[in-house]
Amino acid sequence: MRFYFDIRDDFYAATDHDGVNLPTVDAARKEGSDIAASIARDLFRSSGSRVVVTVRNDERPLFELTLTLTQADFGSDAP
Amino acid sequence: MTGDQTKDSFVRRLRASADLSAEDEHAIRRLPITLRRPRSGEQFISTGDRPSACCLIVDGFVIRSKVVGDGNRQVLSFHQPGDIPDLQSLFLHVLDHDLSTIGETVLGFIPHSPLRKLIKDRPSIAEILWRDTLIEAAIFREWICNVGQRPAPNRLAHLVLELYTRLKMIGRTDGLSFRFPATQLVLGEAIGVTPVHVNRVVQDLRSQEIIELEKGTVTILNEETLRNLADFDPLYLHLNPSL
Repeated sequence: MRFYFDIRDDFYAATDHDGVNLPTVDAARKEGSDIAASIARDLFRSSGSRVVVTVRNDERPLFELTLTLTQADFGSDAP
Repeated sequence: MTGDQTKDSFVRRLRASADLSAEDEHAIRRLPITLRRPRSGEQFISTGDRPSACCLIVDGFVIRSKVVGDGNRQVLSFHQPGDIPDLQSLFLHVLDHDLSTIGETVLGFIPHSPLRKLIKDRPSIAEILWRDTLIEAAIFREWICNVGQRPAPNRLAHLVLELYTRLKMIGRTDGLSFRFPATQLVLGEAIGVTPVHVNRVVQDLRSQEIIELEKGTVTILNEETLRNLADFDPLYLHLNPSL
């Protein structure tokens, strides 16, 4: 099965025209999470906070994976 | 192509990093060689093979790779004209990785026995090849640092500068451009990221006018920014034999 991985983050969006052959939808979920995690590593270091991967097959969008970085600051009087 | 010309890139590369005497060069040029033109992407040597010849890259590029666990491939190194990526098969008889071509490639196979005899007869050549193997190990160390420590854009920047520096040494660059037919899939396998992520990195470096990858050609648009991004120190390539 051919799967396509579109990405969208704070700075960049791209539609995957090439796709990748993977045996199952679960394998596509793993590939999608690898893509999201590896982009997130770069993105979060350069002050981005969100990456979305939309996974499609030849017919339709299947699911979307979102990785968000949130930061909660403690007050300056915190220990 | 005559047998003599096929060794030009090899001799040129050895000269760049070691002192090669005229007699040594003559002995290298006399080695028997059989040319082959594998198709692009052909895996011409595989893990477990017992080669009886070493392959000299006469033209084109070869990747060394391993398949890990569930089938993901890690590219371990890129090899260019003048390299003998399976020189180790002279002493380590069973190959522990795969070799494949990328793009149009001409390979020259040199049988083990005359190569062994050459090393026995001419200790200076043995020393040069030993030095060459040590440099290869230094490049692997640098790759571990690159893939293990740097963010993806910096990894790609480092790889581009390594390729540029090594290709320049054998006269295969054109200004700040060079031919390099690796797909984004292969680049991703080398720097340890998915093809989709490589694509994002390539677009990012293009929009910042740092490098451009198009139709098998890599162009450095801003060398200084690229060097800073890559944290590139060519020391590990040991290109100056006098140091």
